[in-house]
Amino acid sequence: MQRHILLIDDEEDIREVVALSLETVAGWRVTSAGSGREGIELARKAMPDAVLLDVMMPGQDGPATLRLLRSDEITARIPVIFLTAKVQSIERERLQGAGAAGFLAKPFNPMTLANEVSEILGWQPSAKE
Amino acid sequence: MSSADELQEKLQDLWKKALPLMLRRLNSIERAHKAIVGGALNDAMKAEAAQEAHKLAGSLGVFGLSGGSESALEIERILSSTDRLSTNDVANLGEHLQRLGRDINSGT
Repeated sequence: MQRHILLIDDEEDIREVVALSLETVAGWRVTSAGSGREGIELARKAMPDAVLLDVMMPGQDGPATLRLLRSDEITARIPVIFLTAKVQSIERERLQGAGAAGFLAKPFNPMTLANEVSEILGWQPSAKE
Repeated sequence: MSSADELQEKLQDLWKKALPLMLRRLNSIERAHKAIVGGALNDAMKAEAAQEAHKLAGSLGVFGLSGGSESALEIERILSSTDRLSTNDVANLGEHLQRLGRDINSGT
């Protein structure tokens, strides 16, 4: 089954590496958005299997974007994983309280990213056919 | 070709494409460092350099440049401090900046 991931991150190079990693290693489809606002629109239209969401973005940041996704009945059940450089326990507690399924630390390993996402979401380990 | 080899090859292509952006970020931090040494650093320049260091830490790490990523994190920590920078902070900043530049250029 080909998974569909929506990535929301303001840094273009990170978006490209995540897409390359998930498409090449796991064969997933990746849609990217450069802002929280754009990501919410894409989530409503595309209904991805999961969202990878950067915490620190200018304007509408990750937690604010998650709140909006959760408050919309169309997107409320889409699992969201935060991408964050700040993985201290206080930060984790704050973000978990916002309803995230889990966290991925930046920088991540492009080779293992798909399996880390699968592990957090309880999906079968990913390997491209 | 295995997916690991394929990914590595594509990452190298992507790195070449991303290099000008990495160098611009490095340049922003170098400007801030020069301003610190010259006593001309302002808050906006300091905040911008800290932000660029934060971005470099994430980007360099995913491209496998872990040394540069660690130096960028340390630079971000130094520049994000609200305390006045000590002589030791400035020296550390200079050392990490050199390491950062070496790592970025070695990745080409």
